[in-house]
Amino acid sequence: MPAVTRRLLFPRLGVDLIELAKARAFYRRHQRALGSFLTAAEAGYVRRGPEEPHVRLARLLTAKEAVFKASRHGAWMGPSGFRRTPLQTRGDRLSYRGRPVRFVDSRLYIAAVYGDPRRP
Amino acid sequence: MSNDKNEIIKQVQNIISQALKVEPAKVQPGSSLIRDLGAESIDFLDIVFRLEKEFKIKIPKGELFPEKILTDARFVSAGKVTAVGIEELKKRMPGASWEEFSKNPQISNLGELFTVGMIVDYLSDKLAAARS
Repeated sequence: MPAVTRRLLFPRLGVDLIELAKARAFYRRHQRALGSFLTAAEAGYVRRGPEEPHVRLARLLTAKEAVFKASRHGAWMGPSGFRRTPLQTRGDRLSYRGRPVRFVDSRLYIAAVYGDPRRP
Repeated sequence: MSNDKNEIIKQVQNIISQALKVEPAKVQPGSSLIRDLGAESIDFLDIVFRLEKEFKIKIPKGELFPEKILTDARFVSAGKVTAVGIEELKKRMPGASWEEFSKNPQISNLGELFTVGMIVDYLSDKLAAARS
């Protein structure tokens, strides 16, 4: 199988999970500081509906972690990593370099999955 | 240990126990934020914001937790911090336990070097510099 095909079929995956209660507490306490670690487009995504802002924030943060894990070293991202991993927002969707981030929702958690075909 | 530093330790213990929802007694200078206290990236962000508010300071990105080094090709190779990278990190985190990390310098192990004591030392230096 050609390497390009193999990478497309079996991309390097990044998976992350965030607790909604933690995102809610964080949003309540630091909502005015969103601009210090999110782009303007990302902050806009958090603040516009239909979901509550802390749910959108949870999606963004866990998506960034998933992207980082898939495309970088698969290790600890650290706080400034949120700024260094800008996501594209299109309606309710989030993507990184044109590839979508997918989510699995539960009552207590949101999980994000991102596949990077450049890193087999 | 000076009264100033004792006071900083108490404040940092209080902030971290609230941020991570752990018993204050568990937050000791030698406690690793990740390994011992279960901190995640969002918690590090939370802690930085709380410290800025409590101590009325601005903590520039990457100054307290120098994780940006981890994405610099000069300091990282094949998932490990290079010797040059370790030397660079030692300058930024002189109080960390480098002997153990140097035996297996996987990037994923680096987060474990971030301790409560490291934050206290950082704040002590920063506040002393601000006073002088």
